Amino acid sequence: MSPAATAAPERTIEEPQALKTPLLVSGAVHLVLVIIAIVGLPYFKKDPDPLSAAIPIEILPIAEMTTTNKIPVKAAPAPEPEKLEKPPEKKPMPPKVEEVKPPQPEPPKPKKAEEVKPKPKPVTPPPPDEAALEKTEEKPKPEEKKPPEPVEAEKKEPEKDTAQDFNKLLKNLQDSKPQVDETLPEAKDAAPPTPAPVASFSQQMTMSELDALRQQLSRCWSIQAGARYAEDLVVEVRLIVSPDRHVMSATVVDQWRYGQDSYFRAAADSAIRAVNSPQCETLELNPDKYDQWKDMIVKFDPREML
Amino acid sequence: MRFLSLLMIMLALSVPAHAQLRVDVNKGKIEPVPIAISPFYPERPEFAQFAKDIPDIITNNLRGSGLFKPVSPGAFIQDAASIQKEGPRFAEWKAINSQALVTGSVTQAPDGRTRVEFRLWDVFSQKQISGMAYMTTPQNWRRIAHIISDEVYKRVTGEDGYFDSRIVYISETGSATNRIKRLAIMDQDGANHRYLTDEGTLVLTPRFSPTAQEITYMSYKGGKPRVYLYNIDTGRQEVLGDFPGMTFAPRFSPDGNKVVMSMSQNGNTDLYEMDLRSRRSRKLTDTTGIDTAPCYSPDGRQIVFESDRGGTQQLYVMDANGGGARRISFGDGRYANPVWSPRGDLIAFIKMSGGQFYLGVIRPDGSGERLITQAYHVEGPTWSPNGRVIGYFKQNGNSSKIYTIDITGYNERQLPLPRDGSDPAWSPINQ
Repeated sequence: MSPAATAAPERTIEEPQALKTPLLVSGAVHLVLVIIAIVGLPYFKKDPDPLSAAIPIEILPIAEMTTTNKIPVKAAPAPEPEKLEKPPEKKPMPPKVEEVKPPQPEPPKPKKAEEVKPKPKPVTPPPPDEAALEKTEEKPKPEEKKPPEPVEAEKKEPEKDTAQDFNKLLKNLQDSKPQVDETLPEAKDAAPPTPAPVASFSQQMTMSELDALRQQLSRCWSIQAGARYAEDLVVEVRLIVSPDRHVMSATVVDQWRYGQDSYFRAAADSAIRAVNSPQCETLELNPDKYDQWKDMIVKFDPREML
Repeated sequence: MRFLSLLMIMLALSVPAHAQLRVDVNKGKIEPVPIAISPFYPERPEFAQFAKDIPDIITNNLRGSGLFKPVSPGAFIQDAASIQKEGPRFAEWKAINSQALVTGSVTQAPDGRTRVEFRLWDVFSQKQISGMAYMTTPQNWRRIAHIISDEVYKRVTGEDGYFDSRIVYISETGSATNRIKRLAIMDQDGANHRYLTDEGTLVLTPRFSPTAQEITYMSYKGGKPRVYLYNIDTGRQEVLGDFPGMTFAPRFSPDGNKVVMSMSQNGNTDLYEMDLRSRRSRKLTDTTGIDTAPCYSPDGRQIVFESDRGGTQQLYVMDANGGGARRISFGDGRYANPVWSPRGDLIAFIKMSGGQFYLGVIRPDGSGERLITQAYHVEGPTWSPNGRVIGYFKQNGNSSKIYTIDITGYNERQLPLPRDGSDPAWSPINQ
């Protein structure tokens, strides 16, 4: 065997020994890389705490009184089945009912028109439109002698807010079995009223003042349960209010529909009754902001109760 | 040009100095309308009874609807004579918490007939919102009271009334093994009750025509099931046909020209339509399941019926020509006896589940199912002509009573019947 031949195998033996350390280093580095890939750097290095996002806060004027927290009260009891009254008389009708002549409607005579005194016209508020004028002329105000009475009445009322969810009103035996929920939902979806924007800050109606008005009107507004097309019966009423917070004129804005649609007319009449009812005779308004509320539109919207 | 400029300036000046305040009211009270129904003013002493009875009937009707709360007459301050003379003193009616006021008078018309006049007043607005006068014979005073009730109901709720209507039903007496069933008719408040058939024949499932004073009903005269057409005015009866295997009388189409029914032929029950003029019938369904209890929609374009074609007894709606059937009920239990509301928005049905019967309503698209009353056995829903009230009967043992209930599920009332009753069918508004 030649020395050259013996030298070659020696080199081959030395080579693995020379590569051992780099291999170990390489393996260790790869292992570290794999760990980093799996675990991630943040595990080893803590990032500084992220800056918390800024919370925008809108500053609104708060009035002394707010009634928004008083809402959840017991729902009004469902209309109780009335006991049947005995028909007062059981006179047998002639068998041929059709012999009866069909009703012959006579045009109703507007009676005592001359007795209806026109309401005192406001000096400060802007004049209502033609229809509103008609209305004010028809409406006398004979209750001058007892102005404080309704205020007292409404002060006794607040805990008796009987507004309730329409769905709760409609009876469903399936729902009623497991639970009886008599509490009212929060008025969270109520559309925010829009104060007049151009008045100075101190003159603007506050949210609390508007809420108080809205809740007062809610207490006066009777809605018919199970009405057909109730979702379409949104009624806007224009109110002209006197400085002593009495409604002087209430006019349905959509007069055309009032004349055409019997469902709308009934809904509109119910809205007008609300603003004319004794509980709403004196509106809960801040007398110092007369310019803001002397002429307003109230939208009676039953859709959220369906 | 100068005029145009002037106009522009005037328009600019007419803009209000500030935006109008807007307030949204999204909640209200669900409560009946307080209404005062004053005694009517009798022009002559002989009208005194009418002048008292007519307001009583109106009060009973409006209270029975559940939508009005009549104020007790004991609280009235102003009397009928004073109203007749000087008109309502609104402050007094307002003081007793009345929102609406009904006044009226009974007088004699120039032609000798009785003239009944009424006025409906909005107490808060202090104005008359409705007023009518009717001339009739004194015997019809009760009907006049119903007509006035309908006018008041419509003006205040916006919906047509249902007080001037009648209910035909099956009067029942006797033991369970020897039950005698007769056809009877009465006003919707139970007054003016009378029998239309004698005791000798078993009669079932009367149905009112929507357009005429006619009824169809099943009769087993001579042991053979036949469908009869009965004219209430004339008392005339005619056989519509022999329908073997029929268990329900046919229902009229809204125009009154056709009837729809189910019949069993060759062991399979399907739906058929018959033209009342030609008496020609046409098959509407042809499935292996049992299709029965059909009822037209108020526009006559669709038919609701019950079928077990899907494995269980459920409600289906199809086109009036028989095509496009789709299932609308998907709850537990079995559904039967669907009847479409005259106002079209709901279908009343009977549901059997857990050993109990329920009366329910569902929208025609299958949504909004509600069960509004329940009993050991409830059957035979029928709608008031305005689609606001449902009549039905409840059976308990050998006793069977007819009830009405508002679609809200409240104001359930038992009708005053001289005997037991079943299968009520509400008439349209009297013509």
